[in-house]
Amino acid sequence: MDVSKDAADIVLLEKDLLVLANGIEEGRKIFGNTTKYILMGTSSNFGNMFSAAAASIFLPFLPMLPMQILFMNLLYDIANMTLPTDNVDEEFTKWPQRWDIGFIRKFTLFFGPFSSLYDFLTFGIMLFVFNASTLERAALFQTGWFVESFWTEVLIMFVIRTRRIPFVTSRPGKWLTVLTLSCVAFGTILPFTIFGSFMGFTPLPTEYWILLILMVATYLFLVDAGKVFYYKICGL
Amino acid sequence: MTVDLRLFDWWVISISWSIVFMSLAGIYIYADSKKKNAKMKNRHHVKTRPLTVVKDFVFVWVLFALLILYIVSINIGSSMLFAVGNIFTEAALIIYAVKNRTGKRPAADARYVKKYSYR
Repeated sequence: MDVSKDAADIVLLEKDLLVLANGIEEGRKIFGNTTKYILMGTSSNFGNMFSAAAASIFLPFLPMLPMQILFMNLLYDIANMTLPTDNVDEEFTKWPQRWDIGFIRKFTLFFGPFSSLYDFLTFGIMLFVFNASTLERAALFQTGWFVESFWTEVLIMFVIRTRRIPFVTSRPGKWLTVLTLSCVAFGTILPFTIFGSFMGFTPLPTEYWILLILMVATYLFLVDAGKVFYYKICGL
Repeated sequence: MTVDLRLFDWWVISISWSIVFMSLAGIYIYADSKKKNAKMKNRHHVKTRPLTVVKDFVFVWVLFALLILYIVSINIGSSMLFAVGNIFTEAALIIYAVKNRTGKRPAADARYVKKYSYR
């Protein structure tokens, strides 16, 4: 008995072959959620690197303080902690999927600059609408970019996680939704708190929040349409 | 509103570059998928009609329109133009996504589909 167990590739603990099917499905879900994380991480990091590099050329101050960047990454990672519990679309678990580095590369190249576009737009609004182009007003610029960057980085998770229509035909996991929205709420109220001022943030004007809501809504619709375009031209 | 021209020029170059990069990435992906399709069909070259390319790239034209909207609205400092333009673009993007969304499953390795499907 022990010899056959040692020689076996798989040992069933229940008298039911469905255990194998469930195991395969669970494995595909894990693979699906891992792929989502990689797609989100690579594309948003690529975009942020793009924006930070360009901003450091033309700005007389740092576009975001190191402490603020680290804190944003921490919040982003907290929001991502529940990603393994997220729902995976049925069509993804129906068939075996393959690790396709070419697909990830193309996805990153195409979707990375989307967040850059909105970072640059935020820079424009901060510099030319709110006149945050001097060292004295650097905190306003940094706060504006922190909030925009955090909103776009976290909320995009709901769009990229599925090929279907987000929330309508593909619902995200309950815990992912709760934790992500809580993190967004925290990031939003942060500039108004004492902890926020310790981190170098300053309260943002009301007009900025209106522009930000419009901008982020357009960004999410743009990435969703970009997703449709991307899969169409890829012939997938 | 006074605008620092030098800073504004930098900003226009940066924001335009992100759209140009996206468009170039789109063209690269498009050309790559056409090449793969031709390979699968054992043909050396598949002719693509110019009108099809224009239609396939509607999304890129929307991107360029968005770029113009953002540059103009920030240059003249009009929040109203910015807001209206964004709402109009959102409507256009929803229409585009609804019309073009395919109900296909994500790419699966064709070799495995029949062989290892347990359903």
